[in-house]
Amino acid sequence: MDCRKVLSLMDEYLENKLPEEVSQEINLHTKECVNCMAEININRVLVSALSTLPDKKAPVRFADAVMNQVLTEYEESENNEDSESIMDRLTAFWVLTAQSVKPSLTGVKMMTRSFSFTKYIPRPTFRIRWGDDRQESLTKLPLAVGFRW
Amino acid sequence: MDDIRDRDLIINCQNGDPSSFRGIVERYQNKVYSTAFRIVGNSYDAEDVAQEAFLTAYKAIDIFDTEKPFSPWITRITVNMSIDFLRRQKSQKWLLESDDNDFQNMSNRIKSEEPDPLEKLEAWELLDMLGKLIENLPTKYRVPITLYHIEDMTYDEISEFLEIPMGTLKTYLYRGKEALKAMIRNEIAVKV
Repeated sequence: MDCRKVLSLMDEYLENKLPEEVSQEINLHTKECVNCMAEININRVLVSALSTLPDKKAPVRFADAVMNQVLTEYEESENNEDSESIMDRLTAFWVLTAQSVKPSLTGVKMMTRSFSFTKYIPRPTFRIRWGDDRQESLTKLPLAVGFRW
Repeated sequence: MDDIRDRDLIINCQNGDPSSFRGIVERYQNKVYSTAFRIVGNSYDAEDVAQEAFLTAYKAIDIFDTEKPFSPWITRITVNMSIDFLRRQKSQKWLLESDDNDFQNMSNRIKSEEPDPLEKLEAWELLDMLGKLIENLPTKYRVPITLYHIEDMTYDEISEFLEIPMGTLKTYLYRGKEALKAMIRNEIAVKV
């Protein structure tokens, strides 16, 4: 084995990932080659140092900044759930019924608060379209009531 | 013991107590920030990416399997987000540059009969230098070295993550270490 080959296999050699016979070849080579021996020793120290590098310190108040975002996210998801929960559960019921799945214990469990994928199922929503003159239309019935899936 | 504590905190989060997440953030903030820093290469962006990584973890906390350790999961999220960040910033050019002048410049070592000064370095001196010097490596060497030697990812994983062939990855790892060694030798020469 020549020096070039030894150096190309150095990482795997240092991590004992080479087949036994290849490692033996490298051992034989390094007994004769001082340069490769020195290179392997230096790399061993370098790799070991890299794997034990201490962590950098996170900025001051980093945890506060993250928690602000987490709490905002939580509140937003709670608000969404509050306003959508009735329709979510109704939709879930319709989906279960449409799929001929008995709304038994599984169905009841799916309709609890933690059931979140209903957000991605189209929900029926009512949309009211008023006339062009808003002032006037307030005293009148809406022109049309839309029903959208 | 720490894993049990993590598990309890995460179960609390899954049960609707977001404040429990603070314990997780406080425990992993240095690790997550360091990983992001070593990949994106500066403190300002690293802070943003690290915050985003925690928020992403929180949003997905319901699907986290509490039987598994949290550390590899948050590390993987951080690595993902950091590499995504680099992609958005540099449109992948940083990995495809074929110009290796920077490698040549950094690794030119004056041939000498003297023993390599690196051999005499104490472990603590090396650690101290490495922490600073790794930040000065070009991105295409710094990222593979961080993922392979610090984050302990495999060649296959890194190659897939960075979308580069295995041969290119090994070349970057080799050249990155050569460049690091050259920088350490320079540092020693300046000090002497």
